[in-house]
Amino acid sequence: MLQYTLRRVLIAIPSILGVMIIVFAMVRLAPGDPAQLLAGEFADAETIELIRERFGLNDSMPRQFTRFVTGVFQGDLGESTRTKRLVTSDLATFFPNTLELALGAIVVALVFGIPAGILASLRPNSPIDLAVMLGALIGVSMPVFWFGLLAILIFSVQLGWFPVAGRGTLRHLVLPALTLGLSSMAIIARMTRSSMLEVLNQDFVRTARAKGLFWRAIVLKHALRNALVPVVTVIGLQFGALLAGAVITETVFTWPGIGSLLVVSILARDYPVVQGAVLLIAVSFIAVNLIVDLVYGFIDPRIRYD
Amino acid sequence: MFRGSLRTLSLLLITGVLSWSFAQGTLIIAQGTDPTNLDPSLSTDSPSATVSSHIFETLFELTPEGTIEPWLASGYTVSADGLTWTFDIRQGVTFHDGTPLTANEVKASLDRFIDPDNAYTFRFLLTRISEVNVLDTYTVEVKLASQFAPLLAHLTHSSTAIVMTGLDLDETPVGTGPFEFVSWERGQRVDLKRYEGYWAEKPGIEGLRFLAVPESTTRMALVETGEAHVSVRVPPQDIARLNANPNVTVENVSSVRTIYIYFNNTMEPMNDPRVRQAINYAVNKEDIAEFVLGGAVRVSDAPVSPGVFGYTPVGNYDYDPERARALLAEAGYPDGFSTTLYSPNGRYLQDIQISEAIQSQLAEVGIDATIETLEWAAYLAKTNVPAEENEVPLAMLGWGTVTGDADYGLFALFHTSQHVPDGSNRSFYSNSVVDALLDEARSNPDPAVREQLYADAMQIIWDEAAWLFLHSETQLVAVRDNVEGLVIHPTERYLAHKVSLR
Amino acid sequence: MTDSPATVAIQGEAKRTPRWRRRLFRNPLAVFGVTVISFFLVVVALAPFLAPYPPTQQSLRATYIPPGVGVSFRGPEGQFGIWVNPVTRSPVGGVRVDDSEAYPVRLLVRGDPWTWMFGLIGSDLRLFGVDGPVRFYALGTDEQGRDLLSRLIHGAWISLFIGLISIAIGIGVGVPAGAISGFLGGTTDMIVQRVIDTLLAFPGILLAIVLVATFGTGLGNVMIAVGVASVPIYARLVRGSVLQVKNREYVEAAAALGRRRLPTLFHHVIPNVMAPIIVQSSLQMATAILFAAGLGFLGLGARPPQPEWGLMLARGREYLAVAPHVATFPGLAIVFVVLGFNLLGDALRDALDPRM
Repeated sequence: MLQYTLRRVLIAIPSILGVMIIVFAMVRLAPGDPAQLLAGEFADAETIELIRERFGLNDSMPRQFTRFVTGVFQGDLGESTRTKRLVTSDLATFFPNTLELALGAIVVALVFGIPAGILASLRPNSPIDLAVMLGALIGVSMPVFWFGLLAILIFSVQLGWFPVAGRGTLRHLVLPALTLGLSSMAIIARMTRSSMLEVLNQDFVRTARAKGLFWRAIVLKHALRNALVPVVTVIGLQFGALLAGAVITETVFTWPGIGSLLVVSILARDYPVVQGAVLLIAVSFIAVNLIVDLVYGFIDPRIRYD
Repeated sequence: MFRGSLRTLSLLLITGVLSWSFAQGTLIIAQGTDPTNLDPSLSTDSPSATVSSHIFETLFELTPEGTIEPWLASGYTVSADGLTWTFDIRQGVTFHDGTPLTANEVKASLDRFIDPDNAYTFRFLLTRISEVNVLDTYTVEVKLASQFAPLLAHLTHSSTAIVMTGLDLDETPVGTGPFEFVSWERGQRVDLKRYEGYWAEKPGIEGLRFLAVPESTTRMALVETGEAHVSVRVPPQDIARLNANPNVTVENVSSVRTIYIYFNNTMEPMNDPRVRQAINYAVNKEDIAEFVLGGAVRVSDAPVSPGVFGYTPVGNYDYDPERARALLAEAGYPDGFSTTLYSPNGRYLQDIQISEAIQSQLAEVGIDATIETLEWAAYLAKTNVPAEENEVPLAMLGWGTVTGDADYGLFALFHTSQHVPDGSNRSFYSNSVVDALLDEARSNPDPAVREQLYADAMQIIWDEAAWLFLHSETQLVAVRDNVEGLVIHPTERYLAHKVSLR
Repeated sequence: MTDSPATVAIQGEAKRTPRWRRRLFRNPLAVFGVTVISFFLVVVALAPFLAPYPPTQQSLRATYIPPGVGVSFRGPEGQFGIWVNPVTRSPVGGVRVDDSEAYPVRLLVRGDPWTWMFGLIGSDLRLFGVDGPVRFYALGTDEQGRDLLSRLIHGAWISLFIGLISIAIGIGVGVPAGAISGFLGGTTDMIVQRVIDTLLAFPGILLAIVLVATFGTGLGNVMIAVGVASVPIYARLVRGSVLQVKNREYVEAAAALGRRRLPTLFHHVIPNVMAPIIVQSSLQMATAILFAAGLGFLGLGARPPQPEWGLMLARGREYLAVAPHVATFPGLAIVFVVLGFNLLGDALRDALDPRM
């Protein structure tokens, strides 16, 4: 187990390094003078020189990169050109809100996705199955922001059930979580269905059925437990996708998370914040995947030797 | 049955109590964006200025009617040569931390603003100040390097507000205003509360909350459902619908912001005044104002808006495609030409819609314009390039003459010394007569003379068609009917100083 | 998705074709998907002929007119057919229909001239149009008074193009990378895998956002960004397939018989990997169209006045409360086409993988 954990962690390191290279390259590849980009549009020549000095933009690329990485590990991501605040303090403010939204979305996806998948698997190719599968496909085919805006118009403006925007109470969380969780819900429903079908066709379920145990009990006790193992992996992967999907959902619902911060910063060409936000999302995604891998290896020791 | 009605009753009671405390308590204003920074000198946008105008105050105040009133300064005198101004500081004013406002604080604050090391964006407003001296506890003397008529107007600008120096004002904004800072949940809301030690009449509400809501659909929904009292920047197409709501009224207040498309006066073929005039004739400003902007704007008849000191109507270019074609032919472009129209997207009321309409009207006279949109910061950078490297032939911009004085609206945009990147004259317009008129107007202390000088300058600018003149904007603000006393200031700030909630 | 097409493995036998086709068309959802996509392709091919008006022609006096306004199915003298009255909107009076005139809609009329396929063909013949000085807005107009139907039809081409370019990039870079990685193994494999891991660390739309933030907005950059984001998926598919085939006995046997390994591998890998690539490409079309729409919404995608569906939907959101049709039709168009490609991709996977 220890060896497996170590190997997984070691494999994550090049990815993190790669992410840093990409984030580092963003400013250098973008058209224009990187010092100007890092200093902001309104900066005068003097400030730009100061920035050039501070980030050592005249040094060789490897040296610049070393300095960048050292900075990241010391928690120094520079200063926002838009708000003149430390990037790390902005990220610390916004990231927990995104986590809250993503967790809400995962809960929504599980609460609706798993039962729908089970329901569909019980009668393959029945009208119920077809409806769930089509519904799931529509779920992944719908532009997220369109769904979100329709949800606001129907559930907030027309029916008045939920607040229109903002963050605070649980009621504020419902519509954004539903919007963000929609495609994950669809994917989890499909996943549950196919892994249920696989389990239901296995010998031990058939045996149990032959022994006359109540059908529903079999499904819940034996099949579901076995079927949910692969679903765990999907949840992990989906969590990362949700962090990225939050970019659009947060913009629709004015959710003060890292996604809306990223969009505002891109539009304002606030590169230090863009770098920080992208780095944070990507590294979180790697971390979540690592955790899922480890948990999975713990549950199912066979995969450790693949 | 009985239990049901009891529940209904208690619900009614609860909502009653809630709405009562709500009505007494907090005014909620939904703005388009979060403030960028609470330090009034560090931000350049009106959402930030709106928030900081409640926390900080300026020495002089520009009323919505356009007059300049003493505010933190209770009076002033000017020396005969116009170079020494003496300000009496209002007594009995305290900062939110209890410190009394004296001449020392005013000097410190002004020194901070003009310190070149701080490099504030609006520092140019007061660069003529050479030194600030404390004469006694409540008197400050300001010395100017040369005569400067718009000084008082510039001291009404929110970025020159008197602040408690030596603090990180973004974290702890301490001023003298009617509201003090409570908290800022970034990207979401700023909360202020009434300052009980305020020197003038205290506000009728206990708290003030600013929400940041970029999506206009969402912002309008907030005021419709009552989750906000005020929502700014109503899209023109929503005016009728919101007015149909019995609890909401859309206020329509003119702004000092003029919207225009400037020509690069140094670039072929825009360097020919006939081409510039032709484009002015080719665009149907009235139709755009009526159909794209829902009639909620005023078609320009001068480079600055009414309500600004120095404004005089100087002409109009009535829609006349025939004349446009004739002028183009005369200038040597009988078949028109191809060009690029730069347009912001979402910065001004219906900006991209206006650009698309103009594109299609220009096509009618043979001018094939490609629309190029850039993010706002990139847009400013692209247009802020010296003439020899500048690639922008036509670009839409707006300019708010927020000091209420034509100097701010004309000098920065048309004087030869202000060509970008040194100033804000992005069109590279240059006319020595106009330069002389504008120079004289900013030094001459006589208002009547100044008005005439500005009229003469604007006439030349208009006749030479330095811009494609469009319209002055209107502020469309949706307000719940239980809000009384909200001031929608022409400088695009929303002031809750005298608000009460019914 | 763990049920990715990488698990699909089929032998390249010729008799396979009819069986999978039969399986495909037995599935009603697949038939629906194929129908939607065929319709979409026909629309792209015949766009200017099907569209009654040029996609950017605007009329400021007829903005966001809802569909059906000023349209009747009886003429002034009781004739059958579609008849159109002049319609205008003013900010004060709202939509106004002028009942005093009506003109018939006819098939095959001469309208504004058009050219298509980069100027190869041109005409002024259009499938339908009004015989008279008014316009027939089958799906209403947008916020600039442009015919929504014409814009949707012309936008189909942009969506197809975004999808095709991104697939081309995905295949063009991903397939060689995966093949080299699989064939050579060792250090090369490890390096390629780490690069792919890095790209995969940017989930969903994030990689596209990073690229657009770096290189600027616009349709071209969107296509590249969406394409690059799909590279790792293709690379993994091909690598998996190569590894599977590489150690098979017949490859070893062929090598023993003196045939070179590389051609033998190609001979076996290509048919093996075709199916998952086709499946993936169908799903990639769907993803590309959705990503482009999302970028359009965030203001990072296509630029006005391009009739790109995502941009149209994003612009229409400003009018949701007063003129929902402006956003609804582009939204539906996106859902249908994306759904079509998703259904086809799914059905192809089921049909090509006998084990499912």
